[in-house]
Amino acid sequence: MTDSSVAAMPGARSKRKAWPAELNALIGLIVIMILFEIIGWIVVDQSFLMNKLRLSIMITQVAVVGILAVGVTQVIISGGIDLSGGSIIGATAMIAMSFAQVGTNARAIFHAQGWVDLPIIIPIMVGLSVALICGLINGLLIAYVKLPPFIATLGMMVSARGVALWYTKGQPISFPTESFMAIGDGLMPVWIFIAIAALFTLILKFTVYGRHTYAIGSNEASARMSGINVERHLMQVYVIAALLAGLAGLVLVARAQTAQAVFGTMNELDAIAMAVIGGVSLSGGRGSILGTALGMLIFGVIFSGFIFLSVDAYYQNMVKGAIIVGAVALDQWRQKRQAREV
Amino acid sequence: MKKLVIGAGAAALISSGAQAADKKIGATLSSLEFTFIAVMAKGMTDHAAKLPGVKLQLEDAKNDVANQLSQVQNFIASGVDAIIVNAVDTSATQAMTDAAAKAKIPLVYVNRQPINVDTLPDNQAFVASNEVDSGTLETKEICRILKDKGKGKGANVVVLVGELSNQAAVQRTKDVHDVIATPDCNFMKVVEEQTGGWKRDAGQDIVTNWISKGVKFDAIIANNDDMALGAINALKKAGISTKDIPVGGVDATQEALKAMQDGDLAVTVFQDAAGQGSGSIDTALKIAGGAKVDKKVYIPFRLVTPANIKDYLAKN
Amino acid sequence: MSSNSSDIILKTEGLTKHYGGVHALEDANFELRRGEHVAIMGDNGAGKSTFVRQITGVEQRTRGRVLFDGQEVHFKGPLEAREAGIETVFQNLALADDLDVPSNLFLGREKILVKLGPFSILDFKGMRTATEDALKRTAVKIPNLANTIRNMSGGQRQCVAIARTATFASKLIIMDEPTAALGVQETAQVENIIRQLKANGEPLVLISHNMRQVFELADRIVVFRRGRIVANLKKSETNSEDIVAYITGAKTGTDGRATH
Repeated sequence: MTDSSVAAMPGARSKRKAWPAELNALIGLIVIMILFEIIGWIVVDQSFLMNKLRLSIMITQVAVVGILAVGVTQVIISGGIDLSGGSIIGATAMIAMSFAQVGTNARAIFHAQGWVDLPIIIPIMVGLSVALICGLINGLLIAYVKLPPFIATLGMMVSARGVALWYTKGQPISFPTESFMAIGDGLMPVWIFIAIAALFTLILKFTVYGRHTYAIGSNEASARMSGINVERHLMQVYVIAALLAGLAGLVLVARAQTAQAVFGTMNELDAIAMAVIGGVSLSGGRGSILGTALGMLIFGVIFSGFIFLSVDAYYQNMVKGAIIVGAVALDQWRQKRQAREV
Repeated sequence: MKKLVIGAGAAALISSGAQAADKKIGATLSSLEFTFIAVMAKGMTDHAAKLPGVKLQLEDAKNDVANQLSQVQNFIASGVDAIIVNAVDTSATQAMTDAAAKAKIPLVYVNRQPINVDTLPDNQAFVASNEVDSGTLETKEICRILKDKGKGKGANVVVLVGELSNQAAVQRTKDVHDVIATPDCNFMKVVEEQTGGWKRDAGQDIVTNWISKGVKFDAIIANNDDMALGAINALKKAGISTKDIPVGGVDATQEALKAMQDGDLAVTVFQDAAGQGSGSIDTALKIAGGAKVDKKVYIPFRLVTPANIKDYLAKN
Repeated sequence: MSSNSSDIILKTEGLTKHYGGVHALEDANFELRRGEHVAIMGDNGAGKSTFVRQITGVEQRTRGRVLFDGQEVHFKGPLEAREAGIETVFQNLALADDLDVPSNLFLGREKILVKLGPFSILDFKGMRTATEDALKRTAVKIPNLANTIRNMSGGQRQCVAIARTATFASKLIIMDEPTAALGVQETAQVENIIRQLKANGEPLVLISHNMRQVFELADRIVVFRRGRIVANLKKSETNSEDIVAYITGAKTGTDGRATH
């Protein structure tokens, strides 16, 4: 029975460990940082990196979108896409903020009802409930009504923005309580991001949830055949994505100390870009939170780097676009090469 | 003939007595839910109440284009002497212009610039504030403060620009440079300029980045109050006193006024909603009285500083 | 046949499937005994895969009965069939490319270390050990279990797919052209696994186009033609010319009932 064909199994060459996509992002990040460092010494005559304040702002300014990107990452790994995150930020921001206002502001939305100076748990729960509803609708439409995720979340993107605008007819909501502002104060957004990123790294790596997310994104039919309840799982994936968008919205309002209906506009695309730059495959099944975090840092470094060099925001966007395209092109090329070798 | 027309217009403006007697004006506003529009509406009713013989009928279009058009048609049917429109959709104004023109009833657009502003018939006009004023007033005041601080020999300013695609952002930024180009304020120098997209967190991030770079600046000029408030946050976090670095914004939002009361915001600019309301009535009466008016009638922006902030706390 | 009813693991009676006017499967009567390996042959479109799909619940039959393990069954989907003990190996479709071998083997029925609902923590070590055992049982050697399926050869993938069916105590294994896309060595590897299954006494339905393979591995050969079972022959009572004649229609005659 143990004849020679067993030992002669082809495939020894596939022993070589695949080059992780995260490494591309890491190398990209280091190259960009070194580039800014060198140009910094030439043009500005100072170090770009050896600056504590700059290093902290680099991360702080992208942490909110980073929280959103964690949710988007697991959606993309599951083989879907979520365009609604930015709008959910807007809706959450507006509605949560209306429950976080101080009583000294006579124009507080719920001043007449006396719903002012509330403990921060109230606006947090209200905000997350708004996000939860959005996530349930997304999940329902995608998992059970079988709409393509692009369409379902595009609809939510438009509708949730509508909710944000409708809530006060476009008026901003201001004057939050001190305790609520603390969620977004100083480095708090960074800590929240790190906690969320660490949690979801563990979840994706070590839990059934993570395994099934990769499996569905890798091959939905086989996941279904394997007994995974694909519908229920996708429901969870989109609900979690929406909840993280809601959390991002809460941190953003607390940081900005005001809520505006346009909050989060285009953030969903930044979040998707961060994931893609970090090696998360848009065809699903591959990627990690670590990659997305690296993608996020690249955005943060570029943002600070361009201000550091006093370069206009126009160029910043051009470079960001080029990096997104470059990252995906690199990934495609890598995949093709790997496919050839196997 | 011409003299007579001018005389009649002047009379309407000055006394609004005999000439303006029994003038009926119909006004439709985009949505009274917007604070700005509500303040404008109050400016209109208050002003009309002061003018004997002027009867103002105010309608809320509730942000519905079709609603607004039928309100205009109803005004025409009931034979008003002039119509005031605060357009729901500035690209859908041609129909209202046509309806009023056909009935030969004067029409005045207020606050929101109609798409056909350059082709309005003779008895129609647009009343608003001139965007050029806001950035100019702001920068001139910062210029004055810097001089007061004894920095008239040379001062660095940084500029926070609104959304790049937005006309107001482009105009207000241009105003900054235009003011600095004048001999009076050419001691100022723009050392950094970056887009913050109107957003407070972006304003904070950008200023923090500048501070990390060690940019030496004596004032911050922001295209709007939100970015100015973000800049103030950044200064405070970096332990820099807003007493030393004047920060300017535009809009005179409630939060900006509070920041000014706290001594953090040096200057903001108030878009006079009530003034636009009363101005639109005056313009409508002028046209109804047969006077010729400019196609665009500008109600000036107002500078808000700690000196006159009390006048504005209740507005906007 | 000396078979009593408890000896029969799978039986179909008058199994029929019409797609609109197309009679893809007509009145199929089929029997499989415990420990028996039966090969199903036939031209493309003869009804082989349709037959399997009716049994495993991938499609719903037009009429007829399916008896599995002594009970009449009517699976609503492939999952129900699997839960009842029918493991199916498809040509592809079976694996998640981006997961490693143990994850694929245990996909949908992971070993759990700490139970926390959907966030239950995986027992990596347990799954790895069980995977090694399963691969040993089926005599499959995979150089690196931590490698993702994507980085494996076609043969290795198929071996993993087959090993998966062997990992779990199944009552019946169905393989739909398991070696169609494989090279010579890889095919040999899969055939080894099938021999191992035979040695373990696991019943198997093997759909194949490969005459050599069928004569080497199967106890009995069932031929489909135009939606009907046209031959049901013991390997010892037939030869490849005979089978080819049934496949092409040169020879007609028995249907399933004849050998009862």
